[in-house]
Amino acid sequence: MEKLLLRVNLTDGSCKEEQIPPEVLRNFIGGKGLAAYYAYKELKPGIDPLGIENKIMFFIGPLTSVYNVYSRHVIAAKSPQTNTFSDSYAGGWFGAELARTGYMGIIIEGKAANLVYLKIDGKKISIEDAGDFVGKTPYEVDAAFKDFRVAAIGPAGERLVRFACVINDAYKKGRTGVAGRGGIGAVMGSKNLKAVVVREQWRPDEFIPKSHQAEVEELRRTFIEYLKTEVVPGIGLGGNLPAMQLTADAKVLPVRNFREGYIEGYEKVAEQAFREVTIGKSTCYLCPIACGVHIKAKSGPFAGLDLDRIEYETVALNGPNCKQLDIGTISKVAQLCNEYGMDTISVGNITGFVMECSERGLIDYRLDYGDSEGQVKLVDLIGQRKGIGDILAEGLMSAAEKLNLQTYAVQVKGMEIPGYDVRGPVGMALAYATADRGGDHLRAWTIVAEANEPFTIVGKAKLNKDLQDRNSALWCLIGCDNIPANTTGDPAKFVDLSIAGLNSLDWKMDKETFLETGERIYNVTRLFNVREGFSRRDDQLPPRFEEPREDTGWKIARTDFNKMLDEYYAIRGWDGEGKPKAETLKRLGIDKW
Amino acid sequence: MVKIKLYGIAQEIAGKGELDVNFEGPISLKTLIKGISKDDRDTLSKEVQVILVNGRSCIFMEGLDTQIKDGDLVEVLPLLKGG
Repeated sequence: MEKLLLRVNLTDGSCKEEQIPPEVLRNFIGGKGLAAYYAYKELKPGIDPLGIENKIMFFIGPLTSVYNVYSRHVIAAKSPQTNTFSDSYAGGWFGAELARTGYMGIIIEGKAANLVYLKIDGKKISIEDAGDFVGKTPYEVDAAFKDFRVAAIGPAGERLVRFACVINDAYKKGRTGVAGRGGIGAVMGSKNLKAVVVREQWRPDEFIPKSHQAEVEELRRTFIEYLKTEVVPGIGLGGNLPAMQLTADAKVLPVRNFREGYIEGYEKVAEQAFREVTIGKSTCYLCPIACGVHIKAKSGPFAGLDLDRIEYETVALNGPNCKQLDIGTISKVAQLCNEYGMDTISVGNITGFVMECSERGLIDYRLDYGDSEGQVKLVDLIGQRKGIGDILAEGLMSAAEKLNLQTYAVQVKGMEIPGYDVRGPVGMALAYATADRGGDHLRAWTIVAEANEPFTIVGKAKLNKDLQDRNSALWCLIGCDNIPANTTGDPAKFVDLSIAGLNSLDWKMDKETFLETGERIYNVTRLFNVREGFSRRDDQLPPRFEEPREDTGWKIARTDFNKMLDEYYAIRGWDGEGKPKAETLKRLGIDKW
Repeated sequence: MVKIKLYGIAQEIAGKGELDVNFEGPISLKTLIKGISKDDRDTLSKEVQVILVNGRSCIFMEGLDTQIKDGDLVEVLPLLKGG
């Protein structure tokens, strides 16, 4: 179970290899677990996320490049957007390539004097000048490395836009991955690190020990069969695009900066409309699902625009949330976000905020709902930090504070809320408020998960905890979210298969231990955030969700929400302020930290 | 009279998107909802995870034991699946 970590210091140019201690692997497995462990142990409290003391941590899991659907990698740091621990995940091909270098993780420290990239060519490590890549897009950087897998930032990362992302496999054939949320791209930019490029040391079959190859081969077949029969039927077109119909039907689609939950004509940006403009599909390493949706807009001001990947969240936030129903415009916005290297959820949410404030006459900037040209221009302004874009590039919460318009900012802990209104499905409100990286849907996507007791506060609180713990465990590997969210069968089967995968490599894992590992990790990220000063007062909803929705009147009263939060804390074993209790930490074996 | 609105899959289960229900005396949410499935299936199946009474989630009241009174608006939302 020997696993290696590559530690790179950009200040002094040193690169060294270290063993990940066996007890750390046992307790944290890989991926999110290791990122949480090293972030808590190595990032001093109160550091500036864009300062020299922050670190960038790339991790993969023990099943990466062994089985399909574990090809994702995580990039973690203290977030410049939220000041929390932040872990952002991306699919594609980069993670599997990294696995075959023999490294399970890379920790990047310090700051380079000039723009550089980190080159990992098997076991040959070097820090190279990236002067030629200044201002280049992730597509351009990827295209320059024919034989390497590349994770790069765009100009937005260099300009320290606080929701800058890291994009891998942008140009090459195959599904692009985006570590989108939390501003990891800005942390890379702050270190003058343009990209990490990797090339394998071993071929895939050389990577798996001979003694395990037969068992792995058999389980691989099981995985393929499982994906084909129980996941592909639930995926639809891909990119989570079927969600548009579902959120519109359930009246929880964000419209006009979350003022409403439904828009006439949403079909223009729903799955069928995207089917009609789809020109290709792409897949991550070894995966038979092909969820990457490649489109070419047919009509509107951006007819002919070609976009290699589009997803529901991008469409919901930059579409209906901005009263925009033109596929071409949404695709143009997405393309620009990819080129600048910015999170599309943040950009769409911020655009909705600007549109509402403009409509109300609260800012000296005019942008109407549905204005295609204006919407695209705003992305340029943010990406280039020009005019109002410079304020917005600091993130929605900071911009709203500066403009004294917090009432209209739909965010939690500085993270812009994604594509689900929660005033009906209130369990999702708890998910946003208690997500360890700020307003995020993926840690507990309760809106698509079945609760045992859906009509009680206890049921909602327990569902949140269970999903956060389960996902934290799966993200150690790093399992694809599309599987448990889209399977037509029981999501628990993916957990069972994941454990079988670990055991095929001699991990001797059982379900209870696996899920407890997830709980341990969620408590470590909480400890990180508590140490940064986060508490109950931060686990709250934005004002918008406490207001009656303009179309339905739905709202969440603060007193009601707090009851749910109390129950959640109690189930978690945290005190009334959201701090893990000593007995909880003891039970999870992290009381001595 | 109580107005019931159903969305998404919940609407398919009930066979209609909106209905008015008249009843005498107090009635629990559970009783009210059970009666509206078009094929005698229990509407409170896996498909429904959210019920709102006058725009407030029933979990903040008495859950399925919430007493419904004349003039209330009950809204039923489905679980989002296959997204």
